[in-house]
Amino acid sequence: MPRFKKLAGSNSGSLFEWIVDRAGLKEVPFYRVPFHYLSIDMWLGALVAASMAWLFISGLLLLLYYNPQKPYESTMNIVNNVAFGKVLLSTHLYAAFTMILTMYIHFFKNYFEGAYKKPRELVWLVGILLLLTTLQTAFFGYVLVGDIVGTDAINVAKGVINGIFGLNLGTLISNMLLGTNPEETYTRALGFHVLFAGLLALLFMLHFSLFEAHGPTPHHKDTKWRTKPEKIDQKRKDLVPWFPINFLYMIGIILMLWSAIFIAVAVAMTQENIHPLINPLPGPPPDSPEAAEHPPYPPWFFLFFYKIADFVFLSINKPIDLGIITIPATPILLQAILTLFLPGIVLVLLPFLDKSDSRHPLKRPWITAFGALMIIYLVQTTIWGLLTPGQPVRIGQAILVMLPPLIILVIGIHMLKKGISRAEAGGQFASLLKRGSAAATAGLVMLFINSAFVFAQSVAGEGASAATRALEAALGIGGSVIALLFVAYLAKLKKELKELEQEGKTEQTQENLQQEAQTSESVESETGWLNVLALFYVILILYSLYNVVTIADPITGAANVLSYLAVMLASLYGLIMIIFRVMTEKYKPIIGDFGDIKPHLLAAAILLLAAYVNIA
Amino acid sequence: MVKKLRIDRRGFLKIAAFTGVVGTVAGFGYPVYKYLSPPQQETQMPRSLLVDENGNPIKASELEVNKMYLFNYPLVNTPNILINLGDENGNPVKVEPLRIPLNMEPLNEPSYIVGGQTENLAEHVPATAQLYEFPGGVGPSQSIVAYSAICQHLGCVYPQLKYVPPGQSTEFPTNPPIIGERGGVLFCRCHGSAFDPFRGAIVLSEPSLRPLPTIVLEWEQDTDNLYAVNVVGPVIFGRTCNTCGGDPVGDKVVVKKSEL
Ligand code: HEM
Ligand code: FES
Repeated sequence: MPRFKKLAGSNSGSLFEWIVDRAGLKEVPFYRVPFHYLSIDMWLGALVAASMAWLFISGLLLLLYYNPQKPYESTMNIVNNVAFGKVLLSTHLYAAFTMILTMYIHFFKNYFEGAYKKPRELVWLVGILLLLTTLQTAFFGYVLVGDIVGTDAINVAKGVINGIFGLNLGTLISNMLLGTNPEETYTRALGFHVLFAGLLALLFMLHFSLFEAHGPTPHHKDTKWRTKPEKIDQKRKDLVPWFPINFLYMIGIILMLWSAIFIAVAVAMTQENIHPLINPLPGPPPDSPEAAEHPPYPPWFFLFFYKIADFVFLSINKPIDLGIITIPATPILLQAILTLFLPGIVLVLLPFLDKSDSRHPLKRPWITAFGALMIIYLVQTTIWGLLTPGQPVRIGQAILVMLPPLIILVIGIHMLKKGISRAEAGGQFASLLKRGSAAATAGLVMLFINSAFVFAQSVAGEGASAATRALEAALGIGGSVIALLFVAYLAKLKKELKELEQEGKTEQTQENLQQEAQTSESVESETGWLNVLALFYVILILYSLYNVVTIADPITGAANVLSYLAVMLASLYGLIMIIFRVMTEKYKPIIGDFGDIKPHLLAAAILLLAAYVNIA
Repeated sequence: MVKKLRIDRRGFLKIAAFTGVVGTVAGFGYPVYKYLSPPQQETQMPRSLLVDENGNPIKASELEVNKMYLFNYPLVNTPNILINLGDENGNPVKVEPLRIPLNMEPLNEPSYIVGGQTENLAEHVPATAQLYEFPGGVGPSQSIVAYSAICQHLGCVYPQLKYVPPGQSTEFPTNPPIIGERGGVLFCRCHGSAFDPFRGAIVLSEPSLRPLPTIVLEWEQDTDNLYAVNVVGPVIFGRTCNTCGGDPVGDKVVVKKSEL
């Protein structure tokens, strides 16, 4: 391409290099990270962003056919008449689910690793706003479909709002959000859905630019969990250039996540008795006979609060006169304050409450315990709400389910913490833990659950059936198991911290890396298998392309289309990971170890699922 | 050796990556392209009785001469003009059936072509022209016709497109007024297209290059009722087919008298 040679200047010979040069891709001012930071646990935010990207693409396309005057009809038109409309709508839904899930993972990872600490307080705060905005956006999207699941969600939401704010204020709020008649409802829901999505985009940009101001928190292996250094030294020798290395890695992550979303939808579509809360396709219309069989549920990501709203022992059922103001009957006000508002305040204040100079979970024991409890309670109440929606919960039942994990966490963390703060005693406690404390704690739990069971029976009285009690005991035990696993994980972290502290300085590891890098030059790696694999991926991509284009009916064959698109994405992911690996050979030679073949195992998993979908 | 191998791998991976990216982009581009093409739900052409606002059938012999009446057909959003054509003195005029080319050349002289079912075509119609049959007028005097009220040029609608009866063309913006054989004209104010209502709405003047679609009417002699049964001629402006892109009217359509 001689013309571009001239255009680009002396050393760039292709159109591609011309673009790279003119777009300034090699000088992109993003934070640079060491090679070994390119692993998924450091890139959870990219997963959230990748889901969001697909939500925007598919959402804007859905907007072309959606009509808030005929919500259900226009949705069914998209599903049943528009070519590939089914593919778009179902992946929009599952991308939203994925976004929420990955967001929680991202959130908790930053929580437990203390990433909110100085100087990243603002990133944390905007992150909390993002969490709330995402849930709001997803709620309004969920409503838009106009099927029985969506209309139930409206009714549940109205009930919850009234329960929190009282009838007068509650009606005012729900009228503002959802209008008073169905036409208003859907026009508003669409308006708020897109409005919140826009807000989400703005907040994301803010979140990302604030993040880029300081870059990722250095890995705890480099800092030994201390808060210093606060940033990655940009003069380190093992940094990779953002373009093309980091860029390729990021594209790989996006492709893999999209592929996972697509294959999940495809698999879900082949399941006949899928629960309506996670059905990728709309449910029956609200006025149809089938609708009668659907118990009213909120979207699954609000199930946790739906159950907490059933904690009737916290209800304010009569107006309370406080002299200056009167609190109206608000059966869910206290629950909202205790489980939404107060934790929210804690999360917002967290960077300012936690000023310690360590990021180790055991050096911030109560914050760690609080985080673990949030996870456990979210899981417990979500499942509980799914299995017994709307059934009132008495105090004894709540204690039976929620107290055991709390006790385990408090005891477990307390024991581990002691070990850490007092070095000598630490050895004893640690070895104690290693040997038999897990079993001991488990025994303690069982004892506790037993007594709680007896206690709960006396409090709950005859109200609850044997089945509900069994369910609650199972929930309590399940939560306790999570708590135990968590404590065990903390014990492992504690051991690792010890090892880290015994190791030499981090600089040494860096030198090692450099040495490795030099030796790798001579280990001209045996990578013929990569070429074969690359060829295989290209063939898979072209084969899937052929299938997508020649599919006779993209409407009935939606699951097949989805599986081929997933294979296509997974293959491109595999291909890109090969190129990524070849380009990063100088940081770590390709030896065909687990790290090298992991991406291809992931791609293979997608392939297997796709095969399953096409057989089913 | 080693060096050469490396270059080969580089080149190979470059080609692989390029093919992979192009393939995947195409794999997503194709569904998006298909998605963006709206589905065509062609419905059956309805057969609709013309009724007044109270639901009583319109009587053909009671239609005022040279007055515009409006009704939607075949879809609820495709308006048409119904006229009982007459001369300057208000006497109904018989409208002959014609064969009309779908595409016209209004710049040539004569700018349109006539020719009854049985007659020979005039020489200005190319042998290859696609023709459709304009059925002529219906009713007791064979003077009632109906045309699409959406201009074939850029889609201006009644009242921008309206009927000017014989003898009234003096109020016209063009000088001399473009009028048809019998003195009347269907004129579109937007860009000046003119159509001859007495001859199947053929083009009298550009910019339109196509006649107005004709709504085929049926007159039931014993009841004096009128039915709209079909659309012939060019496809109604802005549609991919005459029954695409809207809900079809029912078996009764309401006819309103124009206020002009
Ligand atoms: C610019 C961005 C977006 C636009 C234009 C958009 C548009 C839409 C539209 C038009 C629908 C209705 C589809 C139908 O029922 O026919 C919808 C549904 C939905 N949206 Fe979005 N959306 C966007 C972003 C998001 C985001 C960021 C989320 C998640 C946080 C989300 C979650 C949902 C959900 C859960 C549904 C219900 C889908 C179903 O049940 O099948 N959307 N969206
Ligand atoms: S739209 Fe009628 S003349 Fe242009």
